[in-house]
Amino acid sequence: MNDFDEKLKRSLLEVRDAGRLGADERKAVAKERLMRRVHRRRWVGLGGSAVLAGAAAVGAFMLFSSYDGTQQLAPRPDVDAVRIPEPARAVVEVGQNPTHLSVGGRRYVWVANLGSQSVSRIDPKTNEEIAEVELPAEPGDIAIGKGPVWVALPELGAVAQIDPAGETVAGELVDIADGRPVEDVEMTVGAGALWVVVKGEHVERIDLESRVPTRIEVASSPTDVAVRGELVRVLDAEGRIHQLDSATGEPAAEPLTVAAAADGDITFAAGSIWFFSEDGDVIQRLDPDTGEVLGEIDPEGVVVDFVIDPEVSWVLTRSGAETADAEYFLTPIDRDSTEPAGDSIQIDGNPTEALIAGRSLWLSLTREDLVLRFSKYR
Amino acid sequence: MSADFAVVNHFAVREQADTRDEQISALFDAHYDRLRDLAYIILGDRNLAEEIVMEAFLKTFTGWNRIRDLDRADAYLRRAVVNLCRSKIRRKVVEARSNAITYRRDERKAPDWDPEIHEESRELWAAVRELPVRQRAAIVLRYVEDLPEGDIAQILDCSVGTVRSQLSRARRKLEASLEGVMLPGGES
Repeated sequence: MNDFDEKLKRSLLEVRDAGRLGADERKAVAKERLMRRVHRRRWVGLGGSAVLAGAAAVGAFMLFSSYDGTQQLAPRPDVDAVRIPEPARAVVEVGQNPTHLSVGGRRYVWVANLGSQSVSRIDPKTNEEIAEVELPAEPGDIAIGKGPVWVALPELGAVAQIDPAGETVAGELVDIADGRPVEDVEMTVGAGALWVVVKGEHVERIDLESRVPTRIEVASSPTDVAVRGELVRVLDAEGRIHQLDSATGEPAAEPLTVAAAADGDITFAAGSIWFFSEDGDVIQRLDPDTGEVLGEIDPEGVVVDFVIDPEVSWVLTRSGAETADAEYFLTPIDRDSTEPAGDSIQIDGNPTEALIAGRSLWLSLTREDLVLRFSKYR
Repeated sequence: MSADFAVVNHFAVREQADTRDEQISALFDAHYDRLRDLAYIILGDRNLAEEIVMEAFLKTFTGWNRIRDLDRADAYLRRAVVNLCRSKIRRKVVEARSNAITYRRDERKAPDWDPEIHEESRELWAAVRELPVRQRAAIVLRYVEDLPEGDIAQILDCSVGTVRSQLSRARRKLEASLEGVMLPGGES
């Protein structure tokens, strides 16, 4: 070890020692919290079946488990901590740090809970979480077709299939990155396959029947995928939208061009391609054949998410940098004029993703462990 | 998905769980301090470091059936902490939530903490935290944890050669960025 190495080691050990100051008191608190969360996970895992079996089963479980009834479950903020803006109709408590949302069969809404490594199933009839499925790693994106729910597990470089009826992970995980952890994943279901963008790397086509993945090397740094009919569109960080044949993965048309963005999103709706960059400041409507910009939405603040259905579109924006005191707004947008179609709704909380399902708009509030529902919003 | 969540025999679950709880509790007592140190030096955030270690233990709980040798649980935990730190930095997700007892700046005024050295070490630490996350983790594992390159390679899921090159690059960057800064030991 040379002089520099010794100095480096000494300095880092001093930093380590400084970091220990006051840590013993917090250690006791941390241990108590850990054991509480361990108990809660067991409670959630077993509780799912117990709930289905009825209150008696829950009671029996609690009686015979080591959960003694005096321990509190993992703390959640009070519902009152989030002001419910009009016309929000419901606040749903889910797992910890909800992020991605999706809607699937029977119109259940699913949300990926980053902190509790689980997905929650919400019944829109009751606005309640009716199941929480444990996962072997932190969930990423969720995609749902007509059948099962697919959840990305970036840390494991895999996707998991959840049986909506069984509320469990069904079968083996499907590898999407040779067993390596990956940074982030975007997914969509269409043309008989689950399309997985391993951000910055490649695209995987997973056959919905056989679950066999096929790798598609398309350009560099793919960031998002959208499927309509037999055409698959893959956006890359250099601002090209590649148009691929869904059966062969081969180019079916010349790429379209948009602005380069490290975290660009595309969606296909109302006969157009809609493009925006997360944390960008504009949403573009493009002609799907020529790539010509047909219109631009230029909301106040930076774009967090953008959702669109046959009648209305909404943009979720943040007032500035992603800080604890950032302000978030939800604004309806007239699709034809691309102008605001109504007043913005300020969201107290930290929304990260929006979803339109039926006649409702859902928002995941990541730091509040909640999902907000807006009904009859048109 | 751990299979034991599907078990409906609550007596059996309770027995397994009690044993597992005791083992997790023992693992916590044995390894928490070092894991928190590791996460703290990599992340530079006390609350976040404690959250990361919490998550690492919860991962251990979730993947309990995959741990065949409890004597190696420390390696599993250490790898989980490093991966979680890397993941956290990559995603820039700041979920630091204050614990019941929050850090106070006055806590730094411990009698054994020389303010001069403190400032200089902070310069170096700041430079370490400017390194790419894999280099940062390699430096901390090598110099704080005293791990051999083979163990670091296992934790970072790369070859020993990659660890050597990462350490070498990191040292060069640190030396360059610290040129002229007085380090502990009195030399520049």
